[in-house]
Amino acid sequence: MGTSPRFLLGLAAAKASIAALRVTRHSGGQVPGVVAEAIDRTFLADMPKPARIAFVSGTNGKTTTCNLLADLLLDNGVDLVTNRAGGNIVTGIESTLIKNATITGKPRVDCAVMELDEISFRTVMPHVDPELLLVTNLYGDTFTRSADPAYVFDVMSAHIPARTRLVLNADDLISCRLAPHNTNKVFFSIGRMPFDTAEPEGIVCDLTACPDCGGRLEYDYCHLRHLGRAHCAVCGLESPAPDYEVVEIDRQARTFTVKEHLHPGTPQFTYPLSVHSVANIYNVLAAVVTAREMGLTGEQIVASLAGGVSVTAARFQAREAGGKRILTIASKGENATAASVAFNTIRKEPGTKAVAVIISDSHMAEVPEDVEYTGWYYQADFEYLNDPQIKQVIVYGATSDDIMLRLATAGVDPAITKVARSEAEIADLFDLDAVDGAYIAHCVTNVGISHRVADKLVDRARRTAHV
Amino acid sequence: MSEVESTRAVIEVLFPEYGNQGGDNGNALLLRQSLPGATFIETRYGDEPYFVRNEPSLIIMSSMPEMQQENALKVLLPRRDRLAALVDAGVPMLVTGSACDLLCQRIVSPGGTAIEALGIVDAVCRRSEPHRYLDVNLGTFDPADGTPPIELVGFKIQFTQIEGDNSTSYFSRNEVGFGLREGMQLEGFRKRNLLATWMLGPILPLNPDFTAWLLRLVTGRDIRPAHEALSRASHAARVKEFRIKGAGIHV
Repeated sequence: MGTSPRFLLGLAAAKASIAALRVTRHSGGQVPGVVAEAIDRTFLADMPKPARIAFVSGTNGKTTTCNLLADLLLDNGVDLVTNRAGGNIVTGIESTLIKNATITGKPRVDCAVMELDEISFRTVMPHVDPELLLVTNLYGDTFTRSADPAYVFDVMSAHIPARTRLVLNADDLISCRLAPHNTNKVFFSIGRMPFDTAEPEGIVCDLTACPDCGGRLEYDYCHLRHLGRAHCAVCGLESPAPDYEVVEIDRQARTFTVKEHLHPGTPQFTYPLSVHSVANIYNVLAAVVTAREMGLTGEQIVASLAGGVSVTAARFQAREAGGKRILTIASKGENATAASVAFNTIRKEPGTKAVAVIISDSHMAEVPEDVEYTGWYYQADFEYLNDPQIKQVIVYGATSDDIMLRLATAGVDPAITKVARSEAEIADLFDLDAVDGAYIAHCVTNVGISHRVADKLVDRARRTAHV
Repeated sequence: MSEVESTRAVIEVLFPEYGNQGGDNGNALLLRQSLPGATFIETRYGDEPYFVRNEPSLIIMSSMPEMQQENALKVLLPRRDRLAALVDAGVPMLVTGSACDLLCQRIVSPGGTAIEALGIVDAVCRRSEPHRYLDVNLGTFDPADGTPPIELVGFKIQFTQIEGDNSTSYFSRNEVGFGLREGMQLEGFRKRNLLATWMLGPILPLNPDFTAWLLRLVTGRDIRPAHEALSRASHAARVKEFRIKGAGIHV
């Protein structure tokens, strides 16, 4: 490992590419890995690895959770490298390791916390032996690439090493069953809460049948989509008992309390919470549990969270201007769960609203022959936008016709929907005077458009307030 | 729309809990909104299918995960003869996406092991995970009832290729995109009123003329699809896009 001329040449070329990217002020997240692989096809296998590697994977929340986990460890003196600025597929992992390596390939720091794409388990795991793997959840995601959760489950499960410590979500009856060959597992869960629903919410559920036998699933309660407790009426499969369990969420105090069933005396720790949506509680819980498993104490984590370590708000931006609330919320493209959660978040906001839906991929639209698959709109809960408090829906992008049709099937009155024909027109179509707030639901690739529209709306709201 | 005719229609949705892949649940959604008075029977895994003792106006079965195909076959294989008799009797059936795999003689895994399927069409389904076949389809469906051919658009997103001869029993003839397998223009199977296509879309919301034809087949009346104007706009946008040279799904 790490001494062949081909490996050293690949590493040197990759490092040169980093320098070139720096000079040209490009981030080039995966370029070093691509360069290295072009020279040494077994580069990842040849690359010396840090002694401690933790991967964070799962359909939703992995970026937020991975960043928070890294920040908690850094705040407590653990020197580490992350792929925060790089990709989460094999070339992104390689790029991160290259940046952390000396010219001979020796790791500069001995800990890596990296987000890992689920399908990339196939290409990464055979060459890496992680100490720990956190899987946040599994939902339907990018059907064109990842098919269905059962397929992703099989890919991940087949490549998870037997010795790796697995941190799994007991409330997700899909991902909690990963890697039957691995007995080194710890489970986290949110206990029964007042806000629970009896059944999974949503037009489509990713877990309507027992994942083992196909039999009828009975839910005891759900926190978020299919996340909750369930059992199979036929074969008896049930959610595993949690090792770390959220026993209280105090929305007033903005805290949540975790009971550690696996530690002597079942200690409890109450952690600060900056954003208290259920999705975010899962993200913070997963990061906290993983940090505990990596050796931080509960007290250290409490201190870090109280001291300002927090989830990044890149996907959620709220501002007040001229008495109006202007909010942007991002979701992954071709991810029905993420889009549904975004729509539901908007629905639950107080007051009347105008909503822009900007989920057509603007980058794909720039290439005429690139066709965006729109079928997933029928798995996303546009029904949440059929709400008496939503007074206006504005649609923008290359697939506007499909979104308009989907909105109609969701029962949204066509009289309140409009299509913006250009980016410039989006903000102009908002009738700010008629609503309490303007909301923009966008896919992550449209963050630039979304924030520019929000800026315009903020300016307008301020000007109007001053007249 | 005739509420009386709509009410008489009984539509059986087979395995709705499985058949939502790629948004294929949109077909049933549009049918419900187009036929508000019809009876929709959802047959879930473990239920006895309605068609066993009754003759529905339409049976639909939509794209499902590979893992759940085997469960669906557990229910359907013992009723294979009844299903085949209904096909021969001309009962309308719309089978889409990977649900069509079930109609083949057998489904063969990448490792070569095969599971017995319904054998309603003379074809073999070969899985090739992790290779995913992505394409767009623009083609023509011939109703073969004296009415004009219907332009169809849809997407192909699957792990499979289908071996078989559909030269006299195809669902549609493609102008753009592969049919049963790469290199073939002829897509899917049609056997009397069994309409089987691996196209996703979902195809009913994307194809208002085809939906109107299906509604007439099922009810005997000219019933317009729900949200027809919006559906036409969506269809027109896809036709224009799919005719661009090199058009395809790129991930």
